[in-house]
Amino acid sequence: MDKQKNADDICGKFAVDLSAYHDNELEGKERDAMKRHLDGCGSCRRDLEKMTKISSAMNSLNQPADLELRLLEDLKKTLKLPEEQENGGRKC
Amino acid sequence: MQAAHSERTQGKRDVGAGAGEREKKNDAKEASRQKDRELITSMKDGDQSAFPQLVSKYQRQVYNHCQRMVNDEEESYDLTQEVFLRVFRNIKNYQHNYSFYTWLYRITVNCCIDYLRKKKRKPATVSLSQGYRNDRNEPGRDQDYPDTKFVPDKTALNRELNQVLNDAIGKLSEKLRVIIVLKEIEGFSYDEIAEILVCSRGTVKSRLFRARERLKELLGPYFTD
Repeated sequence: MDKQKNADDICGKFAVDLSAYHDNELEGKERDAMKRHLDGCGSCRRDLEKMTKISSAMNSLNQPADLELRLLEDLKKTLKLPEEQENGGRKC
Repeated sequence: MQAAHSERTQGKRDVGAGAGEREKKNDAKEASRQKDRELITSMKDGDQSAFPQLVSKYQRQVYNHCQRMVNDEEESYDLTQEVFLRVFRNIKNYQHNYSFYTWLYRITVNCCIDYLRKKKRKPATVSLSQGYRNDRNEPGRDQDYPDTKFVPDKTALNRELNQVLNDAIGKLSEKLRVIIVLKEIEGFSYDEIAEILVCSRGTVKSRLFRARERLKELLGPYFTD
């Protein structure tokens, strides 16, 4: 029981860093400490795996919106901008 | 558009990239920033043709961010318009100390948060067509009982999973939602998020942790071992 509590306490200390580790935002000693902890902790490894699955699903949500160019037209009307010149815009 | 888009998703994709590739990406990023600086200088000098170029370059990213934050196509369109109106009206105040992209995102984030706060203050209405709204206890909202039999399709992110993810994002508080969108969907680094939200890197780190804990609770049944 005490052993389990002790393990949970240790994992708790690494929890915030685990999220940063997942984002590749840990460096140096912190990163090394996390790696060592992960080598010996199945529970944190599973957490990391779950985080990776959720991230990859979230990342797939980023599909380019099929935004019509009427936005530009609407903005021009609101701001009373002149019509585009021949060499003027939309080239990017 | 391409340079700007790749700039955005760079955070994630840099992982594992070689030094040469990173250098190329940084060059593209710098070229994109340089182009922005030129366009902004033109705008400040009164050249109005520069503004449509900025809109064309960034409208999709702005719209996508709004869509993730408010989950409503029409509102997102209006918010996108509002963002660019603010850009146009405030461009004179923009300083080149940080990238235009950061400044633009700051405006986008603020517009979305303003909208969500106003919405919260309005009396709740029952929507028959919309999935999620801001609050978990919204009247008329169905309770969320996860379909534990649901198995994610590995070949394509199916509609149900999209809905589940959008619902989960919608259940996060504004603060946690914005950070998860900036990180997980738009691929910003911690430093960039800190710059956009005007907070410390430590705050970014701890909020992301909290957002993920909440997402784990909400999405747990869909992402089992």
